[in-house]
Amino acid sequence: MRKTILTTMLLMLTLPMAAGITGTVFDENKEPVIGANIVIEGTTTGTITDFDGNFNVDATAGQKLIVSYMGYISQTVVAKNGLVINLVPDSKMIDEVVVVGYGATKKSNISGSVEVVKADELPKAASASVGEMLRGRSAGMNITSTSASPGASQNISIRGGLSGQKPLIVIDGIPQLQASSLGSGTGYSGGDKDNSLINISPDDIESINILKDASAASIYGSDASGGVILITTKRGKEGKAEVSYSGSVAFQTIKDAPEFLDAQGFMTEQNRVLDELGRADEQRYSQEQIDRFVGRGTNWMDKVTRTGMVNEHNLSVNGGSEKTKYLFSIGVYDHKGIAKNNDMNRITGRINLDQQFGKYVKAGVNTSFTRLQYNNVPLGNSRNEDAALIYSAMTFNPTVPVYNADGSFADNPIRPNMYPNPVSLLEITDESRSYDIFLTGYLEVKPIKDLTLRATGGVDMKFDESDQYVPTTTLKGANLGGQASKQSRRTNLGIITATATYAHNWNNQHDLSVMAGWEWKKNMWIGHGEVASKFPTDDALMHNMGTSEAENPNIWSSKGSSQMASFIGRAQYTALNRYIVTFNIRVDGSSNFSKKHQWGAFPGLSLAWRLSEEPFMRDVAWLSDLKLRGGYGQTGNAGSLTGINTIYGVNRGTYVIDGSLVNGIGLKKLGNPDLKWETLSDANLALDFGFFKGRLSGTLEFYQRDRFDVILTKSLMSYQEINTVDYNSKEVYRSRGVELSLHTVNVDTKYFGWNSDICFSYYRNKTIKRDDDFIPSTTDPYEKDWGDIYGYQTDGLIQAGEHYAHLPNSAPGSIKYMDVNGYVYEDDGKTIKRNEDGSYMLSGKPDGKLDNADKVKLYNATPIPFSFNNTFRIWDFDLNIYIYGSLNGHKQNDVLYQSSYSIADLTYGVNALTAVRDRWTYQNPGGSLPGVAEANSGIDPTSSNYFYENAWYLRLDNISLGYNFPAKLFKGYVKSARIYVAMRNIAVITPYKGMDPETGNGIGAYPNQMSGALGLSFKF
Amino acid sequence: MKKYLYIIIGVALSISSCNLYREDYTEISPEDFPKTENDLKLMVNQLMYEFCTGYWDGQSIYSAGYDGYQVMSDMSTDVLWSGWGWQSDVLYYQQWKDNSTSSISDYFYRGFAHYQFLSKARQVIRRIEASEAKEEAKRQYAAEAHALRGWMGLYLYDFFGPVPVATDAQLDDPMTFNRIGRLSEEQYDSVMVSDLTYAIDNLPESAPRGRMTKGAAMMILLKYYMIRGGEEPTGQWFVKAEQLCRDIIALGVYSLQNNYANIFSIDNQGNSEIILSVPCNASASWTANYMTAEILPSNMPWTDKSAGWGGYVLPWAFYDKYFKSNADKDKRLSCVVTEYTTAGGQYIGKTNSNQLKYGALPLKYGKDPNMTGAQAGNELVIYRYADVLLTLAECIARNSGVTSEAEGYLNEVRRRAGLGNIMGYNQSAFMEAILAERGCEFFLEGLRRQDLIRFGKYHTEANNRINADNKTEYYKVGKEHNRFPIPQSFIDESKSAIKQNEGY
Repeated sequence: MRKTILTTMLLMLTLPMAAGITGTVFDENKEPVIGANIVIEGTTTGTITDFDGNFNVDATAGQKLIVSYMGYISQTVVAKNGLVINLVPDSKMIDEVVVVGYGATKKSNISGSVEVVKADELPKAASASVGEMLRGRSAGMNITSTSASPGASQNISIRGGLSGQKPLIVIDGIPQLQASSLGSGTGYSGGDKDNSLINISPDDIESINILKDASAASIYGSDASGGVILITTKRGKEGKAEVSYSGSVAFQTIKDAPEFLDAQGFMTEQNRVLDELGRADEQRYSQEQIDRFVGRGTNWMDKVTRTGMVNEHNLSVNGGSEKTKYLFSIGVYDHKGIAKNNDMNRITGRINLDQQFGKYVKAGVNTSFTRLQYNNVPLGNSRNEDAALIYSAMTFNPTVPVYNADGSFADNPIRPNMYPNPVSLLEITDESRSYDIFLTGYLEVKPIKDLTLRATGGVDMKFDESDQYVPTTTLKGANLGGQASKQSRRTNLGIITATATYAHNWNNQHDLSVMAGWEWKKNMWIGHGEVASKFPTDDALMHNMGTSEAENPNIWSSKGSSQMASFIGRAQYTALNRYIVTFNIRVDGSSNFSKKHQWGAFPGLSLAWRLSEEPFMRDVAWLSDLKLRGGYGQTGNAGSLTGINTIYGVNRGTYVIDGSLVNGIGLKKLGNPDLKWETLSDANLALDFGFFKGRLSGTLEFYQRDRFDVILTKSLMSYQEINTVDYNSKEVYRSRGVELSLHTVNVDTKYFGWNSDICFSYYRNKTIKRDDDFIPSTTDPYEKDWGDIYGYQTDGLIQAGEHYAHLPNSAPGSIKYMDVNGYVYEDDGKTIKRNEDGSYMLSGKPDGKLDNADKVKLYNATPIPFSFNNTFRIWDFDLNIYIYGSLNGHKQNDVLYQSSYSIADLTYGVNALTAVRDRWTYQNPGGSLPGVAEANSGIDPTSSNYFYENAWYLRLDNISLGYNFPAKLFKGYVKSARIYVAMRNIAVITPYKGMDPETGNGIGAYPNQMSGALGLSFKF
Repeated sequence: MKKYLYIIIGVALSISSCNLYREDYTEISPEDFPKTENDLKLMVNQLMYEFCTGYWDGQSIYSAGYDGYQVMSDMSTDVLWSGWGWQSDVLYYQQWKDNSTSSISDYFYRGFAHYQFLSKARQVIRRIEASEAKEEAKRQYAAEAHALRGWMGLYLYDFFGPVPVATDAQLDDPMTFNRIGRLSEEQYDSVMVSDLTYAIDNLPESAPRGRMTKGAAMMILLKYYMIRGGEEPTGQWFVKAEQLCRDIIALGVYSLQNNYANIFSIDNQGNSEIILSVPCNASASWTANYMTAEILPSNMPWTDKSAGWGGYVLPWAFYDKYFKSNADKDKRLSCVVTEYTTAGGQYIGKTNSNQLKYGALPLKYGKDPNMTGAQAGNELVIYRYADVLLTLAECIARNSGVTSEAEGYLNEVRRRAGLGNIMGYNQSAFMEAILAERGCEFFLEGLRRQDLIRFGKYHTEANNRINADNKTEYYKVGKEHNRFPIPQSFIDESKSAIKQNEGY
């Protein structure tokens, strides 16, 4: 807004100017104010300040000058030469326009829960997606990365993610397609990719608004149960063409690689394990062999990783005349991941145009293009034929060299043809590409004052391709004679929206805005793919699949579409700038439901009271803003349901006839025509506050959300041909939470400033109501907290001589699972007695058996998202220190569990963590990890607390130091210039000993990395 | 109010001529399917999926894992074991009562869950009958579906005894929770006999390998009669079985292979001895033969690309008792490996292998030169002609005493194995000889469990193993083990309409 005023003022530069009164305008930091407005009182004559804050106005001494600047209190001064005017910020005046879906409103008039994030305040270095940058930036929006690989998908959950839906992302008014990653159709997967926010260049974003509660989000109806993220892109501004460039280069190193045994350690431990298993006669290495081994063996992790590098460059040009405004931008983002051969490359382009036709009509287009290109490496939890690169590098036999003498890849001699050589996996070609074309146009007509008619149409087209070739130099490729895969998919969203908005303000007393509209949307998907093997040569990769001699190449193709029509409406009324009421409604019709349940209505109502505008509060000096808000609304979820039709489905290769695979077709799904929407209702109560002239401001929100008519799958009698059906259950899920965001201006002097932002949220998701026939159990009580983890308690390890009746298969060194409870039996001694609610009756006493009765609530793992952002200003330097994390978390140490529980795999040549040295043996009865006997206990340690660790964490995510070159330096040729250095992901404070507490999911997780970046940006 | 709203919306919709329409080309609508003869075939093919050699999803009853029919049947007897420890011990020593920590209850669950197949097959038969295809095609595919229903019916009865079978009316009303109990033995007999009789009457004598034949349906009925005979020795089951054996022989389609190992050889698939097999195709994970990989030690030279998992064994106790004395003669031992040398030249035997410690390697399916990884292509032999001959010998002995005809059938099988004739045994010695012969002839083929049950030795042999191996921590088992326990969840679901098997 401030900039818009600025450009309007720039216009005035063209006014004729005579030599007159000169002066300089400064802000509260003694910085010159550029573009402040100087008007001679009672006239239209005036000017604006230049880049040094100087002005020269055609006035005579003694005339009164009004000096104004957006966000500052206007001053009236008597004209004289050499005026020095110090502007004071007006915290009450700062009133941004906030996009709220199908329109915008003044921030002060907002009564729902809408969060505003300024994109230019986010650290950009080495972040491909705005999703990464938004982590922790909004209380109540929890973003976690599922993996640390380039472009990996993220979980974005707004207010606890009760709906199970991803947030709807709306870019310039057009909802973005939500598509999942296109798989390769083979055993190798490069991991799930971010498919939504990564398509937009962070540099193109002006602002991000988040509709958190249903009173605000209900305007998006059945798509909005996951919340709504509204992204507004930058647009052209009136004035001379402005060219902006920003770029950075970053280097990345591995941060959380776990430590595995080296060759000698491996040989020693393998011998020991065989000894502990009572199989010493199978030992492979003599002590002499071990001692004579030269070096540490092959460090496979080193062989498959490298120093990562991120390179990004963004260039944009914007400008325009009074009638035509334009912005175009291009960006390149290139990421060489820390795993070899793992690259991501993105090219983005955007053109935003606005054109005024005459007095009443305005039109414009927004177009963007994104091409994403990945070179993937196999990821996941497999080390066998379909081995994942990282897991395989962690566990491959360290005594084996990379290559045999003949240049072929060396194999594990203990189990040949079983575990692929990790380096051989780098020979796999795995490319995926994704093109996103986003075209929208709008036409806006203002036939009469206060009435705006607007029509928007757009398409979001995504084209995904996935190509893979597994050459015969790998184990899998050798087995299959090479395997090639080509998959492609096109998804298309078309949308037409028409709205009419009437807004009028009566005497600055009554402010009314009414909007009504209609929308139609169609989703379409079409795709095909083929996987084949047995190729004459590896040379053609996946580009000559006709040469395949495979008997049963896997082929598929599909097409489908769905439609939605909607009526939307909103009324907002503000009285006396302090009583605000907003009503939203959306009526959605979805083709995913049968005719009788096709339509659903989603209303939202919110009220707000700006106490600080009350006459009795207006003079309270320390209070700059106080607003009490409350709202209630509903959103829906139609999901991607297909549950209304009874259908047959094909099963490819269902059986072998005469040696060849044949297909089968059978009933696949039983339709339920009674299915209807899930509904999420949401009550919100909030307080916005600002004290001490904005030195301390923030928002405190409380909410309760209920999800009902939850679409679940229920079991029919197990003998039925199809024994499940989708239905609207009576289950009710509830989320209650509190969110606090605080902004403080700690120090604010001319040469030093320090601002802080704190975001904190706390919530719990619960199931509070069940179906009538629900039968509770120890691990599934009637009312259940979603974050609760149930399992056996443990009490260390079983020592020599100890025997426990409830652990018949355990031996010394096994985990001592605790028998704490038992069932009560009928007189026959077999049938368990039931309580009135149908649940099994518990005796409360140990019964010599380890069963579900012994499982207890171990932890609650619901995260408590927290972030702490600090911005410092020291002369022309700026410094940012950003920390985010979760104050609660419990997580299983998967790598340790795998190494420890599968310790006997060492005898197959599978490497283990160095930590396994501290396992229980008769010689080491104090060992912290279970001994070889645990694997025979018959109890899965993951069903106990043994490998769980406390996993709260705080990540020091960003430290960046920038220097803003004074504009004077460039004599006006360069408007601004900034250079910065940044360190990303510098440290993680956590008690968790596994891999990264956020991204270290699974056994062979992609290691997280620390980045060091150097960046530059300037405008001219 | 809502009504008016919807009316307004409806009007608005018709004005905007906006019809909400959803399409998905991958969904096959009941309006379009099944219609043609090929549709019938596709439906029957789909039924066959549950008989695959399978992946580890519990869907396939011929999986080579612990939950597969053949493995459960053999490993709970003296003829199969594994070096992998306690899960196989639970089977080997029949410790499935009160063993909440083992996976055995999962195997029972997966097994019993297949009773759904009887409904699936019934519905397919009804759809075939209702279709507009030619009568001849309808009869052919209905017969095949009946045979498959009988096959699964046998599997279920073999493991659990009679299971619940839904009526057509109950199948037509899936949303209603009809809690149905198990059929009585007599009712189940009539279901089995009517399914298989229809199949026998309408199936061809020969068909592409993998499709059901008249002989296969007869063989399934024969196995059912033999189980029933063991349960009700005074019934006429063995008489019916004897007749059925003669009928199978009379088909003239089947004969013994000269070379025992050849029955299972990849080069001799579909040979005349095989009556019913599950064909394999190593190119798909769910149709490959994993039996070899389960046995093959990882360091034993086999094919270039093969990988062995090194688990299953033929226990030394069985080997020593039945094979050792004839070790130089019995040609069936060509399928049993007792020691080997690794590629690196290391000798591996009883003393330095965690697998051979437990038993010999019943590598019955021989080498598939194209075996890659754990996947081989040898068809899984389910029932074969030698079984008919030995069963006939047994039935004659049971029905009319030891006759020279009975001795002849037994000796036909022994001669092929390179063993001498048995003559002049009394009834009990002859029966013992039959049982011993069946053990040596059919190891790894999943017949041992029912054989021992029929001879009343299934549980006593388990107790013998517990005693012999001094497994004092294990409970002694009883006759109730002849049937597996019905998983509690199915009893609960039926609100106790399903009654548990005796002794559990």
